[in-house]
Amino acid sequence: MKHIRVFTGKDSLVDLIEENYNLLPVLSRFNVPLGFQNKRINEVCSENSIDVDVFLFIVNFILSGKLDTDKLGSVSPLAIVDFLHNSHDYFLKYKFPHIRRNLLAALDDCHNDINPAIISFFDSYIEEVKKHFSYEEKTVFPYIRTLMTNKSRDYCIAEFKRNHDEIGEKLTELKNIILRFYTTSMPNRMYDVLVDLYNAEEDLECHNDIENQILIPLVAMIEKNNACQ
Amino acid sequence: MKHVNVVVISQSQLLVSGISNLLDNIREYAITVTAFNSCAEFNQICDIKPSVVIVEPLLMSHEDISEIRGHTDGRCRMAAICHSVLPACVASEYDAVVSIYDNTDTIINTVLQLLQPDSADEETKVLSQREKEVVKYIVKGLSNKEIAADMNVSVNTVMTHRRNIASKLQIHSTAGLTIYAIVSKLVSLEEISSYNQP
Repeated sequence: MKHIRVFTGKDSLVDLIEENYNLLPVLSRFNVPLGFQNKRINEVCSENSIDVDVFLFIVNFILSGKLDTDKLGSVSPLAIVDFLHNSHDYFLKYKFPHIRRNLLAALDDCHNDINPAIISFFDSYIEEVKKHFSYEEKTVFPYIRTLMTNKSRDYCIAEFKRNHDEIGEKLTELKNIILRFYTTSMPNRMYDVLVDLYNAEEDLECHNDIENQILIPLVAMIEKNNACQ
Repeated sequence: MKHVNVVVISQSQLLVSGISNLLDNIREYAITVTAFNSCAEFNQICDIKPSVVIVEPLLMSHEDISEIRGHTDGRCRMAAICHSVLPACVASEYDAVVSIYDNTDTIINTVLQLLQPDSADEETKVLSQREKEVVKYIVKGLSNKEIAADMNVSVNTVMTHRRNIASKLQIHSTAGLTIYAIVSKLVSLEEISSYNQP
């Protein structure tokens, strides 16, 4: 199995992308602009006012699936919240509309019986995602922001943990339905849509993992510390 | 890694802790265990959307079992905790039995089997005639009770059919089944347009 490299601030950003180009959308969630020459991660982060520890923590977690629990305590929850907020924007304002446009263009007239059902299936999935993200934006993230200023609120992260649903399931179903049952005379466009669906599925799983394995334990730690004081 | 919810219904704190600890050993899934004393908090149990419910049979009635299966679209697997021996009529209502004397590996394997039913022996991926009938009923918007009445079978049988259908097709939602039903010509657009969701 390929040995997963751990990246540090001294490594170049280009090397990071070469290691796994799926990290490209992640860059935009940190507001890292393209055109970063051969600069090191340290430089790029400081030039763009990005917390380099959080950047490396998340990027290494995505690459290896493992996190350094010792370092968890020193990661800024506000930076993670900002990252997750940017991820929400990425999915709702860019990725899903992009997939929808390509899906519409890939539908074959011979399937006018199910084409409307497919679009409405995709649209109802988007509504589910919007609800899921909205709960986080309106309840969870504001809670974490006030927690950091030590003001108490009638909420705790355990409640988020209990309610935190998987949001990739319907996307997986759509992908399966198209793969197994959608015949078309112009498959190339549909292949592209499927690849986008596979990517989005993985991306969302990763997003969920960051919330479950980084955000929730981190905030739970802070709640515990606050309670002890 | 896939995140799954497991509910344990038992009056024994010792049992609940024991099961939670054992399930921590499972690496293939990120398991969250929630414990309840009884089925009284039925709504909360269903809200969790558990993949597996591990329960003391004495705490569950036949109706409770049906309700939970019904509210989770037949996707929830149920395992009975056994202290000595369970009568066959009780054991048959569950997908698996976990004895308190089973060793760690056995219990873990039982739970893994419940979490990934597809890995079990599947004779054929094609739906049987009865299963196709159930699909038609589902996309027309009938409830499990109504389907059972029409087909002259028990609600449990309907739920077993739904589990098998979901497992063979890898489609769990009604909307997804609708697309499948039209594309495989089980129903026509006209037949379901009058039952369409808003």
